[in-house]
Amino acid sequence: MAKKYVYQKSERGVSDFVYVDLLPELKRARQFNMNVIIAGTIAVVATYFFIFVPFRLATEEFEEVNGHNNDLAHRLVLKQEERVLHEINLDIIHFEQDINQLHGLNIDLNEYIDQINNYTDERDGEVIEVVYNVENETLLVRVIMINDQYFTQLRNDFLAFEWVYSVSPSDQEDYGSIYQVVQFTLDLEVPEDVE
Amino acid sequence: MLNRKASNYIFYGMLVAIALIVFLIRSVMLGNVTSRIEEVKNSSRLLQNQIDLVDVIVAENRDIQENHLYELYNSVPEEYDDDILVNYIYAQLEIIGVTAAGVIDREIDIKLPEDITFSSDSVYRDLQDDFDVYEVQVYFNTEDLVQIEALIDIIHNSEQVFIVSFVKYNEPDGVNLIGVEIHFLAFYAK
Repeated sequence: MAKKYVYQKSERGVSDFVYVDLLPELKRARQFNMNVIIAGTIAVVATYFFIFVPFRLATEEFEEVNGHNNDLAHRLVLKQEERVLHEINLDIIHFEQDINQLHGLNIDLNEYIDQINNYTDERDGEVIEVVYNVENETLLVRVIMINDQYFTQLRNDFLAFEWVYSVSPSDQEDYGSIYQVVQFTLDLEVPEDVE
Repeated sequence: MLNRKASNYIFYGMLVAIALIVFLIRSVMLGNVTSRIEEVKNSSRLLQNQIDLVDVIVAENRDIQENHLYELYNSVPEEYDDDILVNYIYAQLEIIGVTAAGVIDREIDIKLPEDITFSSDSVYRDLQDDFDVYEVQVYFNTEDLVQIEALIDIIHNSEQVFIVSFVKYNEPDGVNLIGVEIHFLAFYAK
């Protein structure tokens, strides 16, 4: 857009002089410079609020956390010295813990077998074989009965034991002319303090 | 010279570039500091746990004397001795009435640690890292269920820790001799 123009009438009236400035470069140049200044200002402000302030806060937090960490490290050193002062041997403590774990694994097998015998007697049956395997955590019992209707009830009795995880009965086998035999495999619960 | 439209585009482009650069720098710088803060916090938690643990250890063990170790060796002996173990088992068999006299058979076999393998998911596999585990295999015949129960009880209640690992028997009828197989694990300090 033209910014200025000059109109001059000649002295002798032969010709007129007209000057029209059609190139408003100065305005465009000023506009561009203003944009640069605005952009620069935005850059500075954004840097302050989005980088400098959060970074300063984070650095302060880091210093605080790091100081606390150093305090804890020092307290641990003091505690270790206290332990050494009392002549406490960690190897003995670990050894004792390992032994306690062994005690936890030492189940009373007779108690289990007694319970099985008692419930089998109540169902008019008799245990004829017992096989226990600690690694498989199974107790296998073979039971003989006249009245085979009790097998299901006996399985439920076994399942009710708190030390039994599951019971898998085998198919019934004939034993002589009137007896029936079933083999129950009891999966045992692992003691809680060992798991 | 640039026209107005081009200069506006450059201006907007600069704003976008400034925003990108600012957030890039922010994410890098703050990311570093934040990750360091997290590391230090985790380290502090670990230290606090260790302090608590040492506190508990000191509180529980400050009065325990060094000779406590010898009491522990009663449960798990320091060294394996074949004679002591075998004689102990024969003595227990004698006590329950499984004697060498008469028609009673009895046998004791001991499996050494290197001959014993447990499955990978077995808790006893882990125990082999802490102890030398021997398996004592006892075989005898009897007509009396009480003798079987008595031996299992002795193993269970022994001062030295034994764990019954395998039992197999047919219920005795009180008249005929039946074979009984009882294995148990004996543990020794490494």
